Amino acid sequence: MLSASEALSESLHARVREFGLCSLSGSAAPSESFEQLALDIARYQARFNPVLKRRQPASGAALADLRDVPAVPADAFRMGRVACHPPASDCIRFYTTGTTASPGIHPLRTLETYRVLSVAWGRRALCPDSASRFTVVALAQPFEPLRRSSLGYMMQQFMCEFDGRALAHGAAFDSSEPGRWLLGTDGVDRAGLERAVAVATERGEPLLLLATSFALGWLLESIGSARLPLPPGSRVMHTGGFKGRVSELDGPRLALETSRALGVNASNIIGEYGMTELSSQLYDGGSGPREASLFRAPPWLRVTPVDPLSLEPVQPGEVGLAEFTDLANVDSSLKLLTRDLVQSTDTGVMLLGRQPGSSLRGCSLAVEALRS
Amino acid sequence: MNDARARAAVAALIGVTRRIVDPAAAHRQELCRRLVSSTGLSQAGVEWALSRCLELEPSAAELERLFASTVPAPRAHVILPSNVFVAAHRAIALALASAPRVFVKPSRREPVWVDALLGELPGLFERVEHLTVEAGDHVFAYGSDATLSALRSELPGGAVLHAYGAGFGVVIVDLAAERARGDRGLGELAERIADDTIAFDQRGCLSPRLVLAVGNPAHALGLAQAVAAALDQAELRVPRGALDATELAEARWYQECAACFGTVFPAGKGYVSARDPDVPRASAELVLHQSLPPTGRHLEVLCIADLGGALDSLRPWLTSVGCSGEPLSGALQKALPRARVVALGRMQTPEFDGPVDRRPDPAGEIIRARE
Repeated sequence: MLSASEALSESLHARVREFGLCSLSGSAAPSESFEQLALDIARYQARFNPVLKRRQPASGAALADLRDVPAVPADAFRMGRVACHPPASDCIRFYTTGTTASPGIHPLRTLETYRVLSVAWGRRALCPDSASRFTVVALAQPFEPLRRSSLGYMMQQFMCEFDGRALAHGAAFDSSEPGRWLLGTDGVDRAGLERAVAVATERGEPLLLLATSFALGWLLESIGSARLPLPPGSRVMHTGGFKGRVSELDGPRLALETSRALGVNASNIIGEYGMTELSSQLYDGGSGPREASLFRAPPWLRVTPVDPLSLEPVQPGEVGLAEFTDLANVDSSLKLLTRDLVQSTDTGVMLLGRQPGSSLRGCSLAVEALRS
Repeated sequence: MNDARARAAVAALIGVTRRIVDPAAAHRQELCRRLVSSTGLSQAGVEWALSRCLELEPSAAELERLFASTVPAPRAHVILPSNVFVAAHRAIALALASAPRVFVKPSRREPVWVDALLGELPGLFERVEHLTVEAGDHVFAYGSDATLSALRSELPGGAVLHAYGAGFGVVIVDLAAERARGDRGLGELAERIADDTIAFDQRGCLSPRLVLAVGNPAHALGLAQAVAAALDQAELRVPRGALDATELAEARWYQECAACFGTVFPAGKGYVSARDPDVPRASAELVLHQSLPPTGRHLEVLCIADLGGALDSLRPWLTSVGCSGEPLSGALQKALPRARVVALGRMQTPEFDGPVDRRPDPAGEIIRARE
C-alpha cells in the first residue's frame, strides 16, 4: 500500500511520462503544460523534500510561479540527502564519479520514468530512423547495481531497447554478456570491439558504440594510425568529457580522430551530456568538429543560463551557469544549479565548460583544489 | 651555522621591519596604499595585519627556538606567497637564520613588502625574479600544492626544499563548557573567532575556515549566530577588501549549498552557516569535502560527535587550531603535534619560533638527482 506521498509521486511520474512521450511523438499534444506540471512537482517537493521545504519563503505562501522555485546546487547531493522519500524507499542510488572522497548521491524511488524517457530521447538522438536496429556495445565498465552509475544504467537500457539480442549465436539476450562492455581495469577491449563489428556486419546492420570520452580516447590511442572501420551507418555516442584528466585528444580532435579511425561520419558522432543529479540528458547534433557543442534538451528539460551572483536569468545570448528544470527529477529536485557555463541559442544550448574556481590568493586551501 | 651572523641578520630584519611599519615612518602611508592595491585588502585590513600579525617583539626564548629550527645552508632561496604579505617576515627570517646569502623571489602580485624592506636596508637579502638554485641550497617555498609540485620537478638534485603548501585552521569549541560561562562568555568567544577570521580576509593558511563544535546541535546553531554577529561588528571596524568575480561566485555557491541543510547567517560581507539540528551531522571522515567554505570571511559551524574522526579527516591540511580552553587544548596539542594549538584570538600570531606551518619535515626534503 502506497503512502500519501508515494501515491502523489506515482501520479506525478505518470504525468511526466505522458507529457514526455506525447511531446516527442507529436501525434497528440500533452494534456498539460510544462509549467503546470513543473509547479505541481515543485509543490510536492516543497512538501516532502526536507531540503526544499527548508528553502521555501518564510511567508509560507504556496508556490505560484516557477521562477520562485529554488534550484538545488549539484554539490548539495554530496553534502546530504536530497529526496522526497525515506532511504528505505530507494530503489537505487546513483553515485557521481570523480576523485573527491565524497561522491554525490541521487536516490531514486522508481526507475520507470528515467528508463522510459532516457530511452525515448536517446532513440530520437541516436537512432532517428526508429525502424533500424543496431548492435550495441559500450566502451565502459559493466553496469552493476553496486557500481551505481546512472550512465551505466542508461547504456544498459540502450542495449536492451536498441539491440535486445545476444552477441553469441543461439544465446538469450543478457546485457552483461561477455563482449558487451569493452572497458576493463587494464584498458579497452579492442579485440572485443572487433568481434562486435563482425557480429554487426554479419547481421547487416550498423553498430552503436556508447563510450565515455576518456575510454574513446584510450581506444583511439590503441588503434594509433591504423583503422578499425565500423559497419556503414554506425554511430558513436560519447559523453563525460575528461573530468580534468590530461589528454591530447579532447573536443574537436576527438571527433576528427574518431571519424578517421572508425570510419564513422562526423554527423554520426554524437555527444551526450548528462549528470547523476539529473534524470534527463542532452545530445548534440553530431556536427563533427566544433569549438563548443550545441546541445538539445528534450521537451521535459529546460536549461536557463543564470548569473553566478544573482542567480537570475542572464540576458539572451549571454553566458551563465546552467540551471536545469528537469521534470523527470520528480523525487529529488526539479531545479538543479550546476557550475557548467552555457549560452542559449535559438536552436539549443552551447556548453562552454566549467566555471573556473578562484585561483589561489594566499596560502589557504582553495575549494577548487578539493574538487579536482 | 655562524651563530653571530645569523642573529645579527635576523635582528636587522626585525629592526628594519619595525622602522617601516612605525606609525611615524615617512613612507608608512604610501606603503599601506600600495599594499591595499596589491593585496586587495581594505585599508583597515592592511593596518590590522601590520599592527596585529607581525612579530616585532619576539622573546629571547622564541628566537632561540627559531634558530634551533633551521638547518645551516650555504645559500637560501625564498619564494613568497601573495596576499598574506606579513608572511614574508618569518619566511625571510628563517632563511637569514639558515644561510649567509639569501635570495628572495616575491610574488608577482605582491612585491611591495619586499621592496619596502630593501628600500630601508639594501643588502639585507637579494631580490630575484628567477631562482638559480645549486645543490646544497635550501629553498623555502610558499604556494599552492600544484606550484610546489612543479618546483620540486625543476630543482636540481641535492637542493633541499622546504615546501609550505596550502592549508587552513579550524576552531574547536566545547559547547557545554562555553555555555556554562553564560551569554557574555559566548559573545567574547565569538569575538575572538571573528578576530582570527578577518585577518587577510581569511586567505592565510592559519585562518580558520571551520568551527568544530562539540556538543548539542542546537547550541552549535546559537554559536553560529553569535559568530555571525561578531563578524558583523568586525566588518565595521575592519571592512573586507575586494573579492574578484570568481571568489564572489564561490561565496554565492557556498551560500546556496549551505542553505540546503541549515541556516546561513549574514556576517558582515561574508556568511556563517550551520546545519539545522534535524539534519544528520556531517560524517566525520568527510567533514572537509562536505563542508569547507571558500575564503572571504565565511565559516561553517559543524556540530561534531566524533572529534577525533573529524580531525583525522582534516589532518593533512591543518596548520592551526584555535581552541576554546582547557582541557581541550592539552588534549589537542597531544593529538595534533604538527599543528599550532593556540587560544582563540591568537591564531594569527603564533610564536616566532620557527615556520608557521609545522606540517613539513623541519629538515626539508632533499631533491633527488634526475637520471
